[in-house]
Amino acid sequence: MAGEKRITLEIFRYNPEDGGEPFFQSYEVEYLNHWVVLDAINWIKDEIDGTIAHRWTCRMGVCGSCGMMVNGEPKLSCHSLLRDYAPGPVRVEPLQHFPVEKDLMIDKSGFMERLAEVKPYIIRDDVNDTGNGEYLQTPAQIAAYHEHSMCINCMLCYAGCPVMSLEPAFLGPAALALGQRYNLDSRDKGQAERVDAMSGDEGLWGCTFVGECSVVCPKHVDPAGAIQKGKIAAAKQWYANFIKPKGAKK
Amino acid sequence: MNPPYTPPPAGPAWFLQRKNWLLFMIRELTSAVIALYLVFFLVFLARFGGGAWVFEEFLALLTHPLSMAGHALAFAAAVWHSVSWFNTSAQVMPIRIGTWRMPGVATIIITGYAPWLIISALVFWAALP
Amino acid sequence: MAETFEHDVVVVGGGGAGLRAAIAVAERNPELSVALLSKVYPMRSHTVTAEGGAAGVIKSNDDLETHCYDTVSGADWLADQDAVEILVNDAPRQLIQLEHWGCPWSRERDGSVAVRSFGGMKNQRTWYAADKSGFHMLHTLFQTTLKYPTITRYDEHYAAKLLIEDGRCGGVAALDLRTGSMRAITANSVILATGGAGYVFAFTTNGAIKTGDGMALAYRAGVPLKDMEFVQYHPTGLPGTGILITEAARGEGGIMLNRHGRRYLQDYDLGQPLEVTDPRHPQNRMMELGPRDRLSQAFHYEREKGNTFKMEEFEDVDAVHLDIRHLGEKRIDERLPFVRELCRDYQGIDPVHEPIPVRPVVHYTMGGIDTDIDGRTALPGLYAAGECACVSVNGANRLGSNSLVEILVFGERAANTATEEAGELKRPNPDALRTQAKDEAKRIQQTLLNGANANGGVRPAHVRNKLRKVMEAGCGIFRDAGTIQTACDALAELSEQAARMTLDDHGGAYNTQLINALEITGMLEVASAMAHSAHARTESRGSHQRTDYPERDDAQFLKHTLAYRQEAAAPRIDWKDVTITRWPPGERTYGR
Ligand SMILES: Cc1cc2nc3c(=O)[nH]c(=O)nc-3n(C[C@H](O)[C@H](O)[C@H](O)COP(=O)(O)OP(=O)(O)OC[C@H]3O[C@@H](n4cnc5c(N)ncnc54)[C@H](O)[C@@H]3O)c2cc1C
Ligand code: FES
Repeated sequence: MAGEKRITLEIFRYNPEDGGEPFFQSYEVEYLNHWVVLDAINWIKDEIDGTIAHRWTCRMGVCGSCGMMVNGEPKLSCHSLLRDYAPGPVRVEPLQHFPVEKDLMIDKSGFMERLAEVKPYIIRDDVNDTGNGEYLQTPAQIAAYHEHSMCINCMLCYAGCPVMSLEPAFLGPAALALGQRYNLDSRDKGQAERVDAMSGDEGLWGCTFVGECSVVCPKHVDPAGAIQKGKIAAAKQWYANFIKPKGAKK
Repeated sequence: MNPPYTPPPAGPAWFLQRKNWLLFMIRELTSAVIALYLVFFLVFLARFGGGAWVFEEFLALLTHPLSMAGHALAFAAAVWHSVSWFNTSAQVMPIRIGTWRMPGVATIIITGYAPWLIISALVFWAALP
Repeated sequence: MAETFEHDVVVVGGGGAGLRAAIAVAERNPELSVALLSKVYPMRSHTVTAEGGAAGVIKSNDDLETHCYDTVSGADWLADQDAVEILVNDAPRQLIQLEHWGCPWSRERDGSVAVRSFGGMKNQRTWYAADKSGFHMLHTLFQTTLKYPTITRYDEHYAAKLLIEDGRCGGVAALDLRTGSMRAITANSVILATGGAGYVFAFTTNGAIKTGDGMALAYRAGVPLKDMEFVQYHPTGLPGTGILITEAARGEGGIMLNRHGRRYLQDYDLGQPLEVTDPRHPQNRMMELGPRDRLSQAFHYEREKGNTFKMEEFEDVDAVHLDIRHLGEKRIDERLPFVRELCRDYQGIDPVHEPIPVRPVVHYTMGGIDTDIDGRTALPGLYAAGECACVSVNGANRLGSNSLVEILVFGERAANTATEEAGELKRPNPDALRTQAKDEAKRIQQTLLNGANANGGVRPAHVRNKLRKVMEAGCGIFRDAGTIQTACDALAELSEQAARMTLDDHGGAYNTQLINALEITGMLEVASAMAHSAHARTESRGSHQRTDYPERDDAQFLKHTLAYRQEAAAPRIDWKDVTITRWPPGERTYGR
């Protein structure tokens, strides 16, 4: 390999089949200037140790597969230049707050269930008729939810959120931001159907507003902002219901 | 096959793990200081009604170095708490005009610092002899 | 042991085509149970990377006829025109449907959808969501599938083999990555939507999952692969990484410059340039908005003339410039924010201030599993849609933004056919299917997992890397009998090596090395179909440019290539007529 510089990666290893405890394994890599952490892991897997398990698809920061803890920070490994960690070593671990299936692979099933819980799709009463053209939506109406629609489901925010370890049933930043994304979409009428899942102690009110989710988010989705806006909306709704005479709901 | 490895749960010192978690914790703890100060303030008001003699005695207590230190701490906590809350306003209540979103700093100034300064100035003005 | 799961329809692939298909089955017949299988979580599928947009006639100054003609001529007349008409007619409805499901298409001020120019398109008709169109489409589709209780997902399941009994397809044998166990997922209809095969080339915009698995699955089951020699080079990839800079950059007005700062495309019969300040710039079907095959070929000639420059930091590869500076920061941030992000993060330049170095990069496979216009393959019970299929609407060269709409139109269409026919055929005997899955597990165990090749074996990654270089060298933008033959021979040699692949990982749980090895065996099949098809087509058409046969030869080759797999031998090549309805073959002109 026409490498220039060397760096050591300390990779978290865990194999559910050998009954052992997790440990760190060091690999030395010669790397090129434009390599990201993911390139190094791929090279190690290809050339030295094929038993390492990790996920990736796009290598361009958009598929959301490759989240890991890099030197203790939640990062997209395809978006973290190796040279920024020189002279090393670089410690690579699975995203925290998730069960680890093997090496750098975490169990994503809980996350997938959470996504489904917030009903992340347009809900309307009218018939879905494509014959009448598009629903109009002005650029300003898009702006109301657009940043929250940029989530690549990389789950870095779950690793950044301390509530996830203190209250494992918490829906978490990405799922709540996604629910809020649809609530804020002018085409959607489903807010009432999402209330049950989204409010409550495991939903919006579980968030103590540490704000770290928005700091670690690589796509500026601002889940913390989405959640606080959700809290305000939920509180307004609660007062509205409170003031309205009983039975007059809806 | 073993079940997935579950990292040990976070201990009571969880907030020491990351800088922003620690800052968050400090923000939360400042509210305790502020709460304590409010208790003190209630006592103060109650005493105030007790007549000049009681008040004199209380004033002496207030100028005690320990009390001064306590006040300095309460002031720092209040400032820290306010500032850390103001800084979140751009996220909680972003100001939008059409597709244009006010830059965070401007939002923070308009919703936080500006009213703060104005109210403080009014208080000063009213309190000045 | 092979666990068996019974469904009515199995969809293999969780990209745009697969998700659209699954929704279509669920909507059309809520009685049917759908299995949605994907080797990665659906939102990781490659559709997510698509940037530029999806074509559909929606504005009053545009018409279906023109979209058809653009597509047919763009395809160098190798597209089936009945299929093209279906694509074009149904495109607007599909895109509106996606809008109704929540896709945040970019809008005009009045709230109607906005469209942009794209290469080879006469009118503006490409719908876009800034420059993350595929991302938004995929997430919208995935989130919409969560609405339907009849869809059961099998995430991170690798389809290893089609289960075939009584002459029809009755499911797939799939490895559950989590445990490594083989599962028989059975159904009356199986829809393949496994995406393209760009990863068989070394320098590509395609990530490591685009290994052409579905093509290999069908091919091994005796279904022919169609037009495999047609592989699209996109003219603008970042030199080191192959990351795509979308054609939308040119659609918005970006220009191509050689080493001397000349807009060199004017020298390749693509028309005369207008000043970038001219309000008529960019002009559709001209210069920078010519079709991809022609632009990539122009790069090749520029390199031969010494008009490209070398990039030291990337092993001296050649490049030219894509310049979007004149668009200004505001427009770039509004229309092309992802391009800016990619250039900054991966190339270390800011396109607001510097031109972007680019070079052609393998992007898309026009060929694929031979299907009819309703998604049927030659094997009863097996359907295909999306980039893995060849209907064909892309012919010898796909127009940018036609693929994202193809996956919708034909994803739904294949699903409709599969739904109708799921009830008609007798369900194959589940025991027989389970036995086949068990046999497949045994085969994998014996050939790859037992460590038999421990000494003298080959690392899978080495086979893969070699294979990708061989294809690049032998079947690149320009080929001839010599280069292709060299590739064919090297592939045969690599197949022998692949039989001796040795794994480090002999376990079950998340054995991603095993998956890679299985993918490599498929890549070899697909690459061989490509090379042999390229060998057989002794003419030049669209993306298939033979230096030894530089002319298009309609008399002999206005035909689709069909590659049939043969055991331990080169594929058999056959031909199939192109369907011509309204647009007789003509000269392909741009810029005039
Ligand atoms: C960088 C880039 C940009 C692009 N931009 C545009 C654009 O602007 N406009 C446009 O029209 N087109 C664009 N394209 C092309 C277009 O994105 C693709 O052709 C299209 O998305 C393919 O969709 P698909 O559903 O067929 O396949 P994919 O999205 O690739 O999905 C394939 C699915 O099959 C699954 N799969 C594969 N093999 C197996 C297996 N063995 N077992 C189980 N599951 C399997 C995968 O997990 C995945 O879910 C672009 C392509 C790239 C690479
Ligand atoms: S590999 Fe896709 S986000 Fe990193």
